[in-house]
Amino acid sequence: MADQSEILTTLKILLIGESGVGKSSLLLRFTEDTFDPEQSATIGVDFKVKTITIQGNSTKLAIWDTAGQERFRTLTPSYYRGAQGVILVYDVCKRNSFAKLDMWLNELDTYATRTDIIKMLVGNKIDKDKREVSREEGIKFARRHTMLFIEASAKTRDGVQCAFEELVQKIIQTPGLWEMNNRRTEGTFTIGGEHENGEEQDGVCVYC
Amino acid sequence: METQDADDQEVFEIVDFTTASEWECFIATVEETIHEWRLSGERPPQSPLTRGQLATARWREKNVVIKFADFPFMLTHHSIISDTAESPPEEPDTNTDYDSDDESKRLPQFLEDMMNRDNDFPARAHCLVRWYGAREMLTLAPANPRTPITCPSKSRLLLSSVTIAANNTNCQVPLFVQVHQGSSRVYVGVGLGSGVRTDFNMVYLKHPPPQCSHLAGLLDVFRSKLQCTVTSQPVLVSVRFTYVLKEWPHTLWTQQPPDFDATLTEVGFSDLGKLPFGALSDPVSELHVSATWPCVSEDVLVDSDVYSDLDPVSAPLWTARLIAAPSPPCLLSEYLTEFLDVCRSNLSIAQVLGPAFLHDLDPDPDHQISLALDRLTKPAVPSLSAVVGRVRRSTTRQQKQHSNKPPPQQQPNTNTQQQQQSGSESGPIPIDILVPILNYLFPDAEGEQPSFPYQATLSQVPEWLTEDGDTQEHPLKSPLSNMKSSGSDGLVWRLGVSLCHVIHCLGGLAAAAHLWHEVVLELRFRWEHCVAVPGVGGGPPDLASTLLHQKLQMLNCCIARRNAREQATNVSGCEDMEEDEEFFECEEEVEEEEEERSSSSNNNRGGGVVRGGAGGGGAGWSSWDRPEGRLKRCGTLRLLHTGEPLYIPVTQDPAPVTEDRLEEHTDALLRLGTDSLGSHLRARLMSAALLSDMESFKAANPGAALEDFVRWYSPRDWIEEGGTEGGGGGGGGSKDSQAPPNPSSHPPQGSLSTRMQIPGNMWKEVWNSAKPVPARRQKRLFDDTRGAEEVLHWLGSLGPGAACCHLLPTVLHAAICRLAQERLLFSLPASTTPLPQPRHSNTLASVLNVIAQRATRLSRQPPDPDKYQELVEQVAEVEACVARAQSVRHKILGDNSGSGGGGGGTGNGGASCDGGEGGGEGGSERRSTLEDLVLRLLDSPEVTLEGGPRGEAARVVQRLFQQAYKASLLLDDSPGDSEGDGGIPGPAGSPVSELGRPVGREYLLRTTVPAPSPASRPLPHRMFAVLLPGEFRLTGAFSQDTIFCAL
Repeated sequence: MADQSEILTTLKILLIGESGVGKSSLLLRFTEDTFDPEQSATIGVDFKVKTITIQGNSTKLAIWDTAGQERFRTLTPSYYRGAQGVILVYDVCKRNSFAKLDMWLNELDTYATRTDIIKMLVGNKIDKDKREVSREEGIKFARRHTMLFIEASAKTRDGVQCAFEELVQKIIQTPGLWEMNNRRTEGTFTIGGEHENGEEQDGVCVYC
Repeated sequence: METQDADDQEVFEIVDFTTASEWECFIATVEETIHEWRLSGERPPQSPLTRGQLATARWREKNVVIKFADFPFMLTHHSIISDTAESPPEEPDTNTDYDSDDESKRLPQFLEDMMNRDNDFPARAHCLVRWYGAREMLTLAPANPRTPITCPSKSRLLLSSVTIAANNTNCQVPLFVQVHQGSSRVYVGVGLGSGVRTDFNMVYLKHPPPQCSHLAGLLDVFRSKLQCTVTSQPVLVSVRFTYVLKEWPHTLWTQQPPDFDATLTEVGFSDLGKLPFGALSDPVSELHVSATWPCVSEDVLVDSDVYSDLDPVSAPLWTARLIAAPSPPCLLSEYLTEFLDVCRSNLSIAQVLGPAFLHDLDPDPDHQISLALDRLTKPAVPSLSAVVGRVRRSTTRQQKQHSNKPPPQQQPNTNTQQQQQSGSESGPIPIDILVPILNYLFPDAEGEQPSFPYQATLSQVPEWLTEDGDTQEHPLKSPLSNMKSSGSDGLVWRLGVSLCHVIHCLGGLAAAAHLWHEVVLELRFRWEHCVAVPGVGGGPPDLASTLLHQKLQMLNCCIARRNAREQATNVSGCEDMEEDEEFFECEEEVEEEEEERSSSSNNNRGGGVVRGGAGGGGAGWSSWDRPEGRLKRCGTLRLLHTGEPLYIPVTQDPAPVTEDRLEEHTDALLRLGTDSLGSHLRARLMSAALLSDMESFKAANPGAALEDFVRWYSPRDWIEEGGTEGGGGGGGGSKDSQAPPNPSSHPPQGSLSTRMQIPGNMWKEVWNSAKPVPARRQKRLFDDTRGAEEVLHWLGSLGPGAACCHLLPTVLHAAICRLAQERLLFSLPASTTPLPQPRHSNTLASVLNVIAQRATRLSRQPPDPDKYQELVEQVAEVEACVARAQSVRHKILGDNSGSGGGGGGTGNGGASCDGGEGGGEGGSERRSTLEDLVLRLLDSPEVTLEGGPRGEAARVVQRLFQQAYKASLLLDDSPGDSEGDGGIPGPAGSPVSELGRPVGREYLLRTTVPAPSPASRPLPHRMFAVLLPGEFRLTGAFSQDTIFCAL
């Protein structure tokens, strides 16, 4: 069904969040559908590429995985440039990783070059027993910051696929974001379609 | 029935079109088009035209090229877009309701439109609409305007063709054929329908025949054509006289281009930072006032060759319209256009200015010595003399070398030429102007108290003051806040604006090259003397600013690092620093240390605490593991093995990076691929910073283990045992491990997380390879010398055009902010011209907002002059709108309040007149009426003057005409002539009104009489006469009853 030859656009997606919340595991689950309990801690940034098809549109995703350690925060934000979507991850079993979300959003606002970047909040590790952050809290946070929200587990694969797909779909629905991408590669520039994006941003908050 | 017939024919007869002539083919094509456009047959009647609808409604044009043999014609359908587009389906019903028997008698739509009284002189419409009042028509004109139809037989042939086509299709839309030269706009046409044929004919002459130059004569023509009897209905007459005001004696509107010399010497160069604004010539060229007598019976008005009572003062309706100068030259747009032109150049500085200019870049021996001396003495502030000296040297040298060559790239700019003739300098920018500009760009070079210092923080938009002097949010703050530009009035901003000035005033590309060259020299000078670049803000390159701005920030970072580095070495004084040395390791100890370290880490892995005792006391550090580069304690953490307090080391700052380098780096990472090997390589690339941190950590904490490092660096990967949280599974950990509540002296129990324990993982690997080296002796992660040289090379390799390209977003940013400074803009309506139309609002301010958004969007793309062209045109359009408004305000209100930067300043004449008539309490009300008039004049093509000839508006207009008249008397001895050359020889008896003689006269005559014979149905007829200087046109639409014609 997927027509691999016709890729609609290439999207850059970021994975950010505190260290050890499972960003790399989510990425590994999404791209290779595996789970490695011995995933080593990311140094700096890493990335993976995957092409997915949503509603008949093939989209190539370059997903940038970042190290969550504070010390790397001087290094990683330079790679935020030009991202269309961001997945902000916290660990539902670590309140501290949830409490730091504001800081991460702040970081994003400072360094992301687009203002209309689509943000998704993912509460990871829901397979574990000792939950410290409830789903409601996550929803509340996402609503306050106009983000998409989902809870997931990289280990049991719950919600992982859905999270990425939902994010991509949202980006595709926001023409200003990815047409710009196309435009840049083709070197053309039209003004017509650009009026749209200002108005389509309002409804970004969707809960799944 | 008919269809059956057709079927039969098709089946049983062969229809042969093979012999069809070209003429038949032509007619067939026209018919086909009429069918295609659904213009055939009777169509449901449309609602009568509302007042002024022909002028205000939007028009639609459909075109098709039809060939007659090889000759192409353009068939065009003009129609108004009805506001009530949805209602037509309902209308047939209502119509059939009240008079279904009237249906057959109903005249074609165009005849009804022709007699409509509410659209007599549409302000803005196709000429045919003006003459015949139709809301819809088809025109056939030669596709190539250079091949007009001049032969009468050809035009007759064409007219017959379209008549046949109209007949065959029962098309009730009038059809016109354009004949003669396109510019003379001569049409013949025909309209068919409901048994009526209307012929549209035209007389077009240079001068009116004497009997046709007044109403009485025209009525005679009209009546005789229709063979009217006395008993027939009276003819309805509409008359309009138009008076034109072209001279504005008391409101001269000329703005001198800023004189650069004068600006610099007399006013100081405060204007240097401002882009100019305003029209150079009056953007309003003419004011037309029309006096209209709408739809009166023929016997009410007397206008003959001996007497006329058509005095405009007696006309019931006065209208005015402004004729704007097509594209008034405006300063800001001129500046921007010239700037764009320079952007398109891809010449290098050397190509523009000649190679001699660049000799300065590779310094001569004297220069090098002076540099070396300078470096030794290290001035805190760059001495202006040094800068100017360099400038002087370069210019004088250039002068020497160019004295017998023609100046390079000479622009046709009188300023330059003058300067080059009169001045002693031969560079495009004379030295006495160059120095102030450089001082303006680099204020700290001027000395202790610079005239134009930079503000401490640069904001995206300039300060916005209300009229009371309060600060308010800038109206363009939100659209411009995301613009990839540079701070308002920062160095890059000032450079952009200054370049605009020198390009305009001092000789285009050459001047730009000269200034850019000097700026690059100055930047190199600053790097060499370790003096920070002002006006770009501190900190690492701001990726949200333009690349040029980032580069300057980068240069600043390099200068700051170099300063810090050199100070550090001066303080410690242990090593003689040479610039290009990159390793600062102690010589012998390293190896020893390494040995020791490896053994210790082996021991650590084994779990033994060999070195614990050695370092335990903390007092007796041996020389080789003395802790170095400690920043501060890390909470209350202690080393696991030694129990010493855990110190956060001084680490190397991250390398500043500009977006182009970042992009290269990102690309390099991307090229490594997505497999595990790629990931591994990436991690290795990225681990430089980790290694540096680990080495600093080891240096600051002798005897530390990876566990200790992890507790500081990635606290989540240290899992404490038996603590409050305890027992977290693999990967889990205590949530507050960053500040363990365990100040006790005995080491905490715990272990690394699973992922850190994986054998051979990168963290361990790097830890093992890390040597204890304090940050200041490590290999620099960021080489400031190289960084600075890279930046300077980048800057130096930019030609003036490329440099201007990089400045484009900032210049546009400045231009948009400049427009916003014209407060008048915020009260103006959006013009209907090619500006972008904002969706929900039609003010000029919202247009500016849209432009700002567009500029913001464009600023994120690589600068491309062609893309900015459109934006510049829009800025020019807004500027013209504002300039026009200023001019009109000036004329109507006699004030100068809106003209901010405009140099008009001759409002006295108008103002004094105001005083004379203003009269106390009515003043403010009167003023608001006039304000309203100004806005309406700008907004709509034609404005009805409230109160007719007695109204306030009319009085102002009359005064303007009188002023012009008086001025013409002063200028010219024969006032009659000077007036008369604009007007046409009117009827002898017509009085010269206060508005002078009418320039244009229009007469519209209408009646309904039976034609062609008295027994025919009464049908509408219309005749329209236009008398203009050098043009007389008589257009007639005369109908004939084709059913009862013979009677």
